[in-house]
Amino acid sequence: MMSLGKLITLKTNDNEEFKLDKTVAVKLEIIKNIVQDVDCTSNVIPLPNIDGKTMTKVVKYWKKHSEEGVTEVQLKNFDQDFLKMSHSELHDVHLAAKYLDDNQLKEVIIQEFLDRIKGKPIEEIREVFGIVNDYTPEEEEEVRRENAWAFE
Amino acid sequence: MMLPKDKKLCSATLPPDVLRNLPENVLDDILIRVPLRDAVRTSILSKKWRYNWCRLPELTLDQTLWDSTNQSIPFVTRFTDIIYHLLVLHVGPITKFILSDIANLGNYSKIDNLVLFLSRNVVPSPEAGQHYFTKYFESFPTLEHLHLDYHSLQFLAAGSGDIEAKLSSPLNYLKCLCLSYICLDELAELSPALCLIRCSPYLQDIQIKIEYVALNKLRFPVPDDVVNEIPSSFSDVTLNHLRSVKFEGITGKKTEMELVKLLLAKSPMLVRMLIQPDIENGSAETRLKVLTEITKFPRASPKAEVDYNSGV
Repeated sequence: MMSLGKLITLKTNDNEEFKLDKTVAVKLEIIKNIVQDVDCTSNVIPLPNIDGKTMTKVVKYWKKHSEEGVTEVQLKNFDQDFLKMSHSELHDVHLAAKYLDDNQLKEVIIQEFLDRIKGKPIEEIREVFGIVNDYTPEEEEEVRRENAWAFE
Repeated sequence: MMLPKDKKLCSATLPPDVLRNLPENVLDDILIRVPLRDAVRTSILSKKWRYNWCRLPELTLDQTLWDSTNQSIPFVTRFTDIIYHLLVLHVGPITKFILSDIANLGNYSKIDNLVLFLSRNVVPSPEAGQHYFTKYFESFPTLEHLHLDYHSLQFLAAGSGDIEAKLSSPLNYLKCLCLSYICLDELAELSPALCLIRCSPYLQDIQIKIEYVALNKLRFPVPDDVVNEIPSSFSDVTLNHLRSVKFEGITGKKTEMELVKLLLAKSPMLVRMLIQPDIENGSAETRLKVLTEITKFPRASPKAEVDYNSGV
């Protein structure tokens, strides 16, 4: 097991390295667990499922949320800003949060998705999730009939 | 924690449309967080999504479902439609089920279908255990009419007769209790049936349709001491509002006779008890014996009329 006394390096699949210092790492249960599970002799933890662009966002989020003396309001403002990204970037961060088992970040992303689709027409919801409508108009009519009470 | 063996496909090297088809699609996470109506609406997104909502493990049926823009549809019709829809399309286990805002239902006979639906799909959680039966009726304190068949009764009693003698709060609104195709010699059916009668002081009408089950076909036969304790388990109960009782399929078994005796003794306002014996599973001689025995039972109501319809 690696000591938490040093800097920890996370390495993404496109070879970008992120150094996290002790104060961030200790607060993050996830990193602690990675460190324990990987059982590596070096300080580099590979993240084969995450690219550098996405990891930049994740690390930015972690750092802000483990900052000393940060206020609720500051975090709220930060989150608001942080979530200003495209649908597909949001998907990437969601997958990264899932992979890293960071439930807090995952919930934040899911909530953002919920906000983005709330009260929106079907076509816009498809857009948010990158879904292509493969129904014919007849099939679509059939689905509406099948679940009539939900569509009225 | 994510171990190497859990590693998912590398998202960054795949084109976006492949990414969208990964099993960990964010929509799955969304689906369990939106109201059921919105979840059902995801069926229109694409073919892949048509039946995804059908596997939802948690269902909340509340006001958001009952609200309808079409005011001409009566609530009961809408409720029935939705329950039927779930019954037909939902598959897989249900770990959580919430039913609320059904005061408008008035008559709760439609719960039958719901119980059937739940009995097929709900995974009983350990903490529910024997309290499930009690919990279930706590959700319907204003129940007026209750119609349950043997299947629903067994399900509510979680398949065992080991339930509490009384509900945590009485069903003070229950006027009519109808139990159909039940076997009083099966512990998992007798116990909940007795519990319901015991906890419904305002019952006016009881109808019990007995299903004949041969002794060797019983799963958990009612032990003799349970039968003997029926009168004492009702010692503090009087059915002051019970006016009419109907038994169908009486064959003269001890449990049946105890129940007939109990209801005659506990109902001072009883007007009529109609007893229809099971013609197929008993001789004319047995029927005569049963009739003789019943006429000897003491009656709390001086005007109670016992009508033994021998079917002849």
